[in-house]
Amino acid sequence: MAQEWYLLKTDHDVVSGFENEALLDYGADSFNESLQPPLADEVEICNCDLSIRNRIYAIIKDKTQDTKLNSLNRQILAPIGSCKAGDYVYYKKRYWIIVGLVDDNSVYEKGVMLLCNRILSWVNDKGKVIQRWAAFQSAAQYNNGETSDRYKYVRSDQLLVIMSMDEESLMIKHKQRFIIDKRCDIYEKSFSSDVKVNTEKPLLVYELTRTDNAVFDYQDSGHFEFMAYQDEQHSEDGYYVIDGKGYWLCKEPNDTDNQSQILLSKIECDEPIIYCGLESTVFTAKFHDENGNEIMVSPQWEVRSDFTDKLEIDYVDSSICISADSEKLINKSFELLLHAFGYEDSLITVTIKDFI
Amino acid sequence: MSERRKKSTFERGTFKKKINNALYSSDNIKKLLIGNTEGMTAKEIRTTFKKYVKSHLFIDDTITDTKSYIFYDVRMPHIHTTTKDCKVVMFVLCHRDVLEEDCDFEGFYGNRVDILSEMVEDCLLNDKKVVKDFGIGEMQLESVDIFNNSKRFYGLQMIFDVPNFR
Repeated sequence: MAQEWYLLKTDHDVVSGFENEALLDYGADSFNESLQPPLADEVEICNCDLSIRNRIYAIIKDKTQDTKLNSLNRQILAPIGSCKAGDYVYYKKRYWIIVGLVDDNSVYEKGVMLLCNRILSWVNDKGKVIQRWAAFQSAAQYNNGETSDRYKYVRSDQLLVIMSMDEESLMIKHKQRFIIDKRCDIYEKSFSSDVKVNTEKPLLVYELTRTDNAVFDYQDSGHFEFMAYQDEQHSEDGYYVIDGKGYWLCKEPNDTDNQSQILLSKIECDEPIIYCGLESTVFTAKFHDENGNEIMVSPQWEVRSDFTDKLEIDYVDSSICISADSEKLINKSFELLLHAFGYEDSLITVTIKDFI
Repeated sequence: MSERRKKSTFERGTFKKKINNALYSSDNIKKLLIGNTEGMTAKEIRTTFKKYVKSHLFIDDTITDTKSYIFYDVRMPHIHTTTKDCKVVMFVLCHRDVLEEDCDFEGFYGNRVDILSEMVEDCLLNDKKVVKDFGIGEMQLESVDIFNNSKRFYGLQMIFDVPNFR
């Protein structure tokens, strides 16, 4: 008897004997065709930094759960090749991370999703702010939150942090510190728009004490786990606005030399004059490292004037192009400020003149 | 600003600013007056442009370079009760030594003065934004006369009519 031949037990009177082949040939297509609401949900499969997002329909299983922990897990049934371990799934306005190896049964592939809690931010060794969504699980659920000797008490908590496995997460330094605190959302609401740095809020801070990048490495995919142990808050831990976006960041571990050094930025332009009605004047940000070499850093520009809305402003790479068309602005001046994380601010006064 | 509007000579300054900006925005005019601007910074282009475009009428012997020039001014021959006649006077001049020099601009014909005067007309009258930016209605070219009062320079005097409210 042919190994592939199988007679289906069915209520239908007529069967061909080729049901298995049909299942193999058309199973995936039939599954894809069945991905319609309400059976399927629209989700986005995202890469580690959410820069690539693929919108697909997929079946999300186990939506209704009976226990607290199970309610944080789901299964995703998706067309074959849609996702892999370590991908993020944006489902019902929440980010989930796929943990465990994703495999298929020739009809669909299945992944196990874990709900992400917060976005984790840190500064990598190149000075760039990295953000990843992470799932946090308590690794010290029933301790009393303090350790002590005779004279002092310090905070004590452990979290298991689960995030995507990528070049940035794998290269996180030992003892890297993170702010993991829901209160940050409340603090941010109270900040005015001109707040650039705030290190005054009490925060829950953790440091990386143990990493695990082998157990959940599936060769072509995988997720990354590390243990974070609660640390005391340092004076530099807090809210920093970089490139117009706010981040909750900790000072880098064992990096006191770099922190104490103030690097210089510079605004370069033809002349600090904007001629009314003419082409834009281009102001370019220049940054140098401690050896005097020019380096690329994302600049953050601030135009300090009470007529900013009357200026035409464009941003091109590391330059800001400003022009003015209104005659009323002639002979007026404004301040142009250049910020960049880790660099001293640079300021110039720009005058708007009549070209005649 | 409302105080300034009451002054009868207000247009002299504002019109000149607009004329200067319109002339500067013409790549053809810049190319004819300055030459090849490749490699020049914006500041250098502006500074050189100012050498060849002046907001007053031509004075012989004050210009020594053998180049092409544009001089302009604003006249107000009649100021009425509610309106005034404003005239934009443009001198398009070229040194006689370079008048017939090769000057290749597609769609333009004649010597340097002919070409430059056409470019001036183009940039002041053919740009809808510019032509309506002066006074009441659209600016109009009233007359074109030959300017031949200088031994070294030859050119045209173009008068544009711009009525405006007083």
